[in-house]
Amino acid sequence: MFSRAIRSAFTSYTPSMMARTSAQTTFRYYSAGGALSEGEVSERVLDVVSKYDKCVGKKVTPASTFSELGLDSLDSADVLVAIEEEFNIEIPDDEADKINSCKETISYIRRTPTAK
Amino acid sequence: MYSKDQFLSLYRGLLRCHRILQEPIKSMGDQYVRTEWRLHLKTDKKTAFIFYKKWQEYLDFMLTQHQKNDDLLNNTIDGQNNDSNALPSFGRHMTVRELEKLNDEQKGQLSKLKIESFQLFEDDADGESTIIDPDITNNKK
Repeated sequence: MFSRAIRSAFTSYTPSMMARTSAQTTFRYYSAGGALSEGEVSERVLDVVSKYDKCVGKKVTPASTFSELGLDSLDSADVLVAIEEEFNIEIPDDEADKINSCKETISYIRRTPTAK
Repeated sequence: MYSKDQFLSLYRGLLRCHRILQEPIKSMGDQYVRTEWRLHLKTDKKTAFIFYKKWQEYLDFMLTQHQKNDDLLNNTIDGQNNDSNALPSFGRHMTVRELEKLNDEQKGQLSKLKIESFQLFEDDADGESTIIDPDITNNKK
């Protein structure tokens, strides 16, 4: 039983990791030079931020800063990690420390060619 | 002492390392990290230092184990390693010293958690009913 539990955890883990790799390869071939439009990035960023539990019911605009939305530094980190998952990227520490608003998040995604 | 940026970097790393876990284990792990970190926002310097060290140890453990599982998977795909005993592993057993430090209430909680977590996978299983031995330390099949 124990080994079955492990195998069950493992089976679902494998395909997602492989899917991610092939998607990244596809991107490299077909979208040289910023595939995502300003509008799309903005919409998806605002969507992720609005769904964060502390932001639900608040008006989130590109101009909103994380502190205006009532987010502390740990909350902002939660949001950025969720943004990473949305765009399938990893934001390096020195960049993440500088991002304090929706606008800065959108701008970072826009200049990250691997974002998809 | 560690800087605020170092704490935040570790925190992001912890949430990221849970991406390899399947639901609902991922959400449970993330929620545990979030709660613990918020409970320790205003702690004294000595505790904060130990707090950082212990979470760093956890992160290192998770990353090392992830790497090992990845290597195992790659070898299996290449057909170089068909050893059926070499299953990927998740987590580890508690040491005797760690178990000795727990009080009765904590042991009770841990035992409940163990039973609940096995039921999660029981729902996934292929229909056959199995009585689970909650003492997994004696069940290394």
